[in-house]
Amino acid sequence: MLRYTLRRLANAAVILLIIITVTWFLLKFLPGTPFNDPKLTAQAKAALEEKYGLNDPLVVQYLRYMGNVLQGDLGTSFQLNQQPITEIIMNRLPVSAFVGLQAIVVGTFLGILLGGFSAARQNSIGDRISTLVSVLGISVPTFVFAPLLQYYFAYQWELLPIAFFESWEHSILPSAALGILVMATVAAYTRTEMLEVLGQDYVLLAKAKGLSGVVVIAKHVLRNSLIPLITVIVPLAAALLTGTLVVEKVFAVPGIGEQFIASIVVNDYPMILGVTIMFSVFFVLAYLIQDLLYGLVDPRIRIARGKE
Amino acid sequence: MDERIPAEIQHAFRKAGLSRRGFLRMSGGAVAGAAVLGTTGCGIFGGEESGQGGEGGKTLLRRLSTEIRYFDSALATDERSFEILLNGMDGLYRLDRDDQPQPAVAESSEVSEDELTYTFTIREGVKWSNGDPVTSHDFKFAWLRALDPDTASEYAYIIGDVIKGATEFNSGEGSRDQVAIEAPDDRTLKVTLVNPTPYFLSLTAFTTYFPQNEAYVKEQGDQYAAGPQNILYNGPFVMQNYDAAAGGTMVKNDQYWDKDNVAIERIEFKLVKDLNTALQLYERDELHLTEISGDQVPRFKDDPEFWRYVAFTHFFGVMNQEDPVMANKNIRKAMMIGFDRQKLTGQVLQDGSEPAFAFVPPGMAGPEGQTFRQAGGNLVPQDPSQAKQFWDKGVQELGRTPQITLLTQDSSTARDLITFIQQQYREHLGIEAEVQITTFENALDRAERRDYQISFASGWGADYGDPMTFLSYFLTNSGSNRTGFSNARYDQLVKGAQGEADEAKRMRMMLEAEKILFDEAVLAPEYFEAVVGLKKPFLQDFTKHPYGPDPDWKYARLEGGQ
Repeated sequence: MLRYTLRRLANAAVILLIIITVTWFLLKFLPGTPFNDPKLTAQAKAALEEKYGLNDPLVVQYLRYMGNVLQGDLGTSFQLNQQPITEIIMNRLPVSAFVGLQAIVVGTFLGILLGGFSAARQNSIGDRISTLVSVLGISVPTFVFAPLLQYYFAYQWELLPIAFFESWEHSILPSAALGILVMATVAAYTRTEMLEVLGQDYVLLAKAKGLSGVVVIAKHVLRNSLIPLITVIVPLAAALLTGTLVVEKVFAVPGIGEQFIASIVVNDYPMILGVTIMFSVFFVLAYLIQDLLYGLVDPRIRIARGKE
Repeated sequence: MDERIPAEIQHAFRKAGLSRRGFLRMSGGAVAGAAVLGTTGCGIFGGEESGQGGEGGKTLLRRLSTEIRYFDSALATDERSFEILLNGMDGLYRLDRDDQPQPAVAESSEVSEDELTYTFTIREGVKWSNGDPVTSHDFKFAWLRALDPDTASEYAYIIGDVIKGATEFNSGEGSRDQVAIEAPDDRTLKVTLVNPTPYFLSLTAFTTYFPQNEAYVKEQGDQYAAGPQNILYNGPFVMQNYDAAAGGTMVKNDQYWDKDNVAIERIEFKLVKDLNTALQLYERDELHLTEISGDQVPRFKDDPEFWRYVAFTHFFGVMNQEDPVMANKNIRKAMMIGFDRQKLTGQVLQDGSEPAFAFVPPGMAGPEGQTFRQAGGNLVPQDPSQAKQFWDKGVQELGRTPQITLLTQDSSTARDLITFIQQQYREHLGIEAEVQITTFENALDRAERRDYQISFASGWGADYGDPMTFLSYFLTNSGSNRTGFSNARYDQLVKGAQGEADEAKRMRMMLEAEKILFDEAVLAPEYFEAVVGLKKPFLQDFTKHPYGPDPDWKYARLEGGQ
């Protein structure tokens, strides 16, 4: 297991290096510079490019950047008062992570309930309703849900705050807007997996032995259906923990997702790279955890990959 | 062994030394964790004391539409940084509610007969927020710092264009000592200009002209203006706290020389980027003032809380004269005339913006008590059907029917506008123009490389209240002129006006220059942009300016709390 973990860690480091390098060079192909204001005189533009080292040869700029990254320095933002990128990320990431974590935990729990119920009562009205809920949850985008939740729960009925991030109550609606997707995705997977397990011989045998439906579901079906959920939850978690643009903007939540988009619009290279690195670390770690979890719950996976 | 937990997982946890209870506690912990984090706050919630908002209070609840980018007056370029600096600082002069410059840190100024030398006398008793007196040296230091090439100030030109020796120093060709700013004593500041500049006093109200305390800037070093706590204030308000992700608070500056005329005690800036959210917050009294989007205008335009402000900001199309097709003047004229600007603002934008039939916006001062627009009139015919004859003539001259490509940026407003203009060209010229939508950055980049035919991604906002801020845009050597247009007579008139002391003559020259732009069909005016919003009835004397930094909260009052 240790060897397998070490090998996976080494892979992760290589993947990160590739992502940073590719993103760095792709950014250089973006049109314009961060200083493309039409009011900027040629001299001022040249001075700014000089100040930020954008006049140096690409290789020099790249090596300098990578050297700094290895020392934990992601540079300073061009657009936000030259604030250090790490500071911006560390201020905003916990907020995104909190809202995302809440969405994942509650969404997963409700999703399993909904999917389990649906599978157990296949083809009933309840099943159809919950399937409809999960299809809607997956297909209707967050930018529709978020303002709707805000409008009804906060504005019309005044049950929760409209926006900002000042107390736990303020986090409920943003988490709910994200949680719907989690719930719907988990419900859909749980239902499919459970239905497949329900058709297995050992379940049929359990039923034939006269065990009650609830016992069969709890004892044999549910536990065997949950393992594949890792496949969907882990990457989803990585995406939600690192923030989402729409929810953060609609609810004025000071998270990192919204900041990322803002930095792309203005060619804030260090900010784009910093957040990309952070996203990549999250995703690479998420897949690492996923693989380790697979290995943990099903040793055959570990052995098979170990032999590769 | 508990059969409710899959055997593999039980095995794994046992190996890890966890009992079933431990496992259950762990899974439960995940759910509980979120709630505990929430209830304890975990240090991530803003949760600051919210000011006493609402009617009767002295706290203004103001929306902040973006993060504040700069607290350094030499580096600030965006509207929000301008707003914070305007309210935290005072220049030599300050624009009043009617956009006229009034003495602020300067108690008076004298102008030499040739209108080139200004001598300011600094008001006694004006202090920085640390108690230091504000002196003439603070202005000299700040201006030279903005001009210093090492500072790389984007707005250095606003000083550089005006003060003698400043451009040379800024471009690295001259020295600091050659810039004509003198501070013979603490209360006297003498400045010599390149040309007579009738709007110079209003320029001193602009952010880049604000003073900076040399000793403090040097003491702070790299940390100067890193945050609101790293600058000194000399204006009506002081920024007390700021969170780049959530907003901040300004409080009245007790050291301000004119504090008796500042009614608002506290301004809570709340970062709300989404306009729909801002509107809901406004309606729930969590904001006292907000901008609204164009599509909300029809709903609110008759509301007593609705406000509209047409800024000196013009959005227009530019035509690349280095392109073989657009080099043809008749084709350019057809494109300039060929769409209905009334419909564009009335049916497409619907946000209170005004149709543009010339370059310089209405409201900007002109000759003999008139506005520049009143004197210059409309320079594009209002009837777009007149464009067809120019088109046909152009086609004849070219010997073929050219394909026209319209370039714009990828915002929703720009998409709506380009679709409208494309349809108008179809209707009035009978052509099927191709539309290219790209990022704003790419559109600017392509304009710079002259890789376009017509670009509707351009606009220009006035830096000061004089037509020159617009007319210098199309000078041959202007960095903003990305059209290939170069006209000796135009350059002569604009440059002549820049050096002209006789105001009537100066205006005449600028009026003639503006006409050339339309005779030559250099641009296709679209609209003068309006800012629209809502404000609570108890918020009085809300002051916006059509150019430069604003709103100015020095003059505002919250009725009922006074």
